[in-house]
Amino acid sequence: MKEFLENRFNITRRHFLGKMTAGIGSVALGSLLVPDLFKGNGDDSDTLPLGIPHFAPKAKRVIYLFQNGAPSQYESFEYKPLLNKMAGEELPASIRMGQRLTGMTANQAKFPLVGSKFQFAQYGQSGMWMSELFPNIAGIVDDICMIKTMNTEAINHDPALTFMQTGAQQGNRPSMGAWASYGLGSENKNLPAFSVLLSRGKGNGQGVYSKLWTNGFLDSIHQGVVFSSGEEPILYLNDPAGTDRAARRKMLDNLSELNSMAFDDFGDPEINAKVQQYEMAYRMQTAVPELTDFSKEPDHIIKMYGPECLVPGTFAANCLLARKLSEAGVRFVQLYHQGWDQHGNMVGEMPLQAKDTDRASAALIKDLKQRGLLDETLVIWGGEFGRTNYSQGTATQDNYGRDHHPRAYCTFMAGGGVKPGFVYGETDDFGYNIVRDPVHINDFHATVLHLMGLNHEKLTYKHLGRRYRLTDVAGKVIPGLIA
Amino acid sequence: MPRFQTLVSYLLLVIHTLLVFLLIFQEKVTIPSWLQPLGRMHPAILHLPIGLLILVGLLWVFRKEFEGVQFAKIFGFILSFSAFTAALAALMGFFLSREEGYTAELLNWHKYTGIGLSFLMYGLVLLHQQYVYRKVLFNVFLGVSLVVLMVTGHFGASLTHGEDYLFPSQNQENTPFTFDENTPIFEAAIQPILKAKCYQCHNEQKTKGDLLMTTIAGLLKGGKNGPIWVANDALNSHIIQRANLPLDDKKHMPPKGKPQLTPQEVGIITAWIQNGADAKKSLKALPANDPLKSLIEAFLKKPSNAPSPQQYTFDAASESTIQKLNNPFRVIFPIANNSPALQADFFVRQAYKAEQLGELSEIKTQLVALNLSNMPIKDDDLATISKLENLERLNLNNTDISGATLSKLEGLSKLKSLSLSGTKVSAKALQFLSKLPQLEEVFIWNTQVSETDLASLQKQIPKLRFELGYVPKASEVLKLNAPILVNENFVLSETDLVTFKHPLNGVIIRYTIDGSNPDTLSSPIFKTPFRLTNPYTVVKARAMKNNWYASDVIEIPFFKGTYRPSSVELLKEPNPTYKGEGSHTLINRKKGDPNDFKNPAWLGYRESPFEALFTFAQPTPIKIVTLSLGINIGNSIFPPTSVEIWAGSDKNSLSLVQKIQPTAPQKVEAARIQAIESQLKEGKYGAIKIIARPIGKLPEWHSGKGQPGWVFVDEVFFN
Repeated sequence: MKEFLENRFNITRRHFLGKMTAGIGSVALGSLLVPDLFKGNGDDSDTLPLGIPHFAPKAKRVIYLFQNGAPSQYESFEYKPLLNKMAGEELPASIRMGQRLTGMTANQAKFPLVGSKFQFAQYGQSGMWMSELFPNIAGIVDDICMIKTMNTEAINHDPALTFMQTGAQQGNRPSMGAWASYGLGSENKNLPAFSVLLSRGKGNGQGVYSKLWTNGFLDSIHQGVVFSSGEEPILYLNDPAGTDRAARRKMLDNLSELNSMAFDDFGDPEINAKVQQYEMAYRMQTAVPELTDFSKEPDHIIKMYGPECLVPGTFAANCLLARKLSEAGVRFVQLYHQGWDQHGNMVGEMPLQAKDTDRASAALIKDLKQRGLLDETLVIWGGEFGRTNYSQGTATQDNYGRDHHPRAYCTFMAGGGVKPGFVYGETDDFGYNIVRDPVHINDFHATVLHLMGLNHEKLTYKHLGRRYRLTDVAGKVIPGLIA
Repeated sequence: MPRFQTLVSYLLLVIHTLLVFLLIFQEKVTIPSWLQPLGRMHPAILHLPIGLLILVGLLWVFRKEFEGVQFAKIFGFILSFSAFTAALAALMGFFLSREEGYTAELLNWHKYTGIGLSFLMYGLVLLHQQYVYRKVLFNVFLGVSLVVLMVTGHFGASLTHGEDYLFPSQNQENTPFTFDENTPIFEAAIQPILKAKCYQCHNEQKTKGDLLMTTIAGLLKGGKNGPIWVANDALNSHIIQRANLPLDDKKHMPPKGKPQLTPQEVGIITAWIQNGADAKKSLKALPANDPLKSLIEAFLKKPSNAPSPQQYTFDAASESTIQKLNNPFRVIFPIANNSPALQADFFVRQAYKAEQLGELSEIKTQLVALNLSNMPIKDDDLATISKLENLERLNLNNTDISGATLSKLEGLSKLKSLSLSGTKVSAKALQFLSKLPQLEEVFIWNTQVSETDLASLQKQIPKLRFELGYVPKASEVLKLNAPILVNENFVLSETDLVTFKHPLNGVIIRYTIDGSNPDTLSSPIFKTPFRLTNPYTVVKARAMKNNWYASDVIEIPFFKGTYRPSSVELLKEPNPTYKGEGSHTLINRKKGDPNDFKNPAWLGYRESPFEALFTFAQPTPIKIVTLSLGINIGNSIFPPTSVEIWAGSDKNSLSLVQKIQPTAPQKVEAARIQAIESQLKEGKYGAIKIIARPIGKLPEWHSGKGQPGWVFVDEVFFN
């Protein structure tokens, strides 16, 4: 019975006491002092309203093309000819500076440098360097903002992925998309604000886990919704055979009447949440088929993304779906493409992975641009860390591999208020250490939230007695990335 | 007299004698460097006499509230101590005043009032000892001391915090400095830099190194090391040299710990000195390609990092109006916290109702962004939209407008961005855009506007940015993706049909069932689902379309099984890791995927050969036995070295029918299903035994050379 009573109040003990101190404080000081001075110990949501940007945003939505497994920067965007010149020579200890290594190369006797097997050239007006494996991204370099100096503390996939997605190496913190949903709410009330699409390449892969799109301690409504990679991206959406829309409507109306009676009896707010979810599911039945029907896309859109985009579950299909979801107001679309973990067989796997992603990634950016959506949509492309400049195992004439490297890696962004045709930061000639303008993951998160109109220091949630942020206690906005 | 006060009174005498001496000979005195730290402790000590003297005053005023003889003692004690601290502060202050940078008038005032205060308080101590006789004088001294304390304190604070700290002069703060092309560069850029980074120590009050930087005269005169710049020779100018020294160098300016010049600011000063250090020269006087010009322009345009949202002057719409207009398919929200400007988004085409657009007239002042993409917006609706007077962004992508009435939007004088992609608008309909004063960008991808149309349109309205988007080139030919098999089961029953599909419209699918690769001309075109007759058929198919390369060939093995044995017995146990669902695995009609050999559809053998006995309830006219194997060379799953088929009327009368030796692979091949078929003599059989032996040693070329290989079996069919 106690629980029911508490539900009546819809308030926790802590919350109640917090409010009470605020009340006493206000009465005591009255109008003598700033009334808000003693407030604020109780509840953060008082400070800034949720569901609305703190200031005018540059990016209304984000599409994060996460390259799961960590693509090698040396075979993609980081041109380091010194590595080709010094191929086979030992990585100088003065460069490595005691960097912690993974269990896979820690016992290696030698660290022979190895250069890219693939050719680099400069593209566009910005003259950005690109590997031959990414001809389509090379075609849009003047629209992208390349960060050369991302860095992290983690050296293994699971903590690194978790860090990149949730701002902490340990699990159970809310993911970026969950924070965005929490801070900005859903633009389109007929679709989940945070959607997740999965695909898998042919290269050596690493797992993806639901903790990467978790809501953590936030309300479960902010959790990422995974779309199925089959023919029907959202399962069980169709009415059962023989049920028409009117019957469904009537059923829901009656159900909601019963539920509101239950609410009157028990006062459990979860009952209301349930009613809202039924209503949303009902609206999704009309909203989703429009989105997942690719048959109305013109032929040249298919050409742009590549014919693979018609095969459900591919990266290209997910890019096309991501564009449609984003166009329909989904706040945060998170893609994961697996298969980028080239510890060996770089020469065999890297071209396949690049082929999977290059055309569709570039197409997505071009497609947003030609619809006038790129200005307000931030596209992010990158992995969880970089790869080493030396070979894992022996580098042969034809092949080599690269281990994990946390100190510097590449990520690029496009649209959404970042500088186009711009390279940020610089690494040394070995590509190993940052010499200028580092971007730590916390800084990266702070910047992305800033672009979305959120102050990363004010977007907080109180949990277990303290306020949490996506950037926790670190991170600063990098103005150099913002147009 | 108590011991403490005796000691203090001697000390006071010494300090004050010293002060008098120092004041008289102050021009000749040089402070030894070991005394400097003492001087610098002045700011730490000086607050003691302030607090103590005020306490003395308070005690004195309220002395009636204390009783007994102890009061006079305590009061005397506090008074002497406060006088001592005042003397100490005065002495230290004197030392500090001898350091550079404090030559100004303000300092003199502070010095003399401070020392004066010290003497006054010494006087108070002396008077208090003879209080009985000099009652009035004591009161006067105390009053004067308190006043002088305030004055001294104020001068001192003005020295450290600046004169306008207490009362900032209003006119200076409120009128922002404006400049144009004719403003001298010195005023527009150089002075602001110096003000921010140098004035703090080189001003009229605090003129370190005898360098006064707040006036042009002071700058030209320079400091004790001479002029700070040499016109046209930046590298030999002190100011630049000092700024470029390492931060830890004692001569580096601004000193470590103070706000530093940014590289951009050093660059500007360098360029300005190089240009002649002319205090009158304006931006206009510089040639267009002068590096100084671009530096200054970049500096003045310095973007503020804080987002500066556009200011809207109109009133916000009422909360209830916004609430009322909001529904799941028409979402209206402020563009940012505390902004009166609103955005409206429409979602779900099916849910759109024509009147929903008109209802927006209630917020026509506040609406600055409207997103109608994919909605069935008709030509007539544009008249409604044109009433939304403050609209800045309008998205009409993929709406049903033809463009005929587009010019109705003429009145949208604030419009900046117009998206028309995926509509039927033509170049002709876009001509009126020149009349929209604020318009910046127009999106016309996938419309009737061709590249040639665009060229002439761009010529007519040069200020607009048109985005034509991706126009596929005829030369760009891509490979189609392969057809998709609709069937989910590769084991066909008598009635099952084979069906293909392809997601792209207009694709034809050609196929073969004889093992050959389908060609683009003669192979049959897939039109309707078809039936297969053989117990084992490999169907090959590929997709084709004009202007596309034909897809890769897909290869699907289909099986049929007419007769099912009544029982299966595994005569040799499979490897415990790959034991599937037991013997039943072989006849459950579940095909395995050769890439997914952990699936329970497979039985895996390595240590012992595969050996299974199939018995039938009654003699069965079996003609063909088909063994389905999985091949995955990379994972050491090879074809067996030999397969033996034994058959008989029951399990005790089996005889060897055939021994097959499949061809061994010579290199790593793609994973696949392989079927081995054996023809039986005509007759009826009650039992059949199959043996398949895994390869004992993997060949030299394989990464697992020398180790035993695997055999994987998923099904056996009898027809």
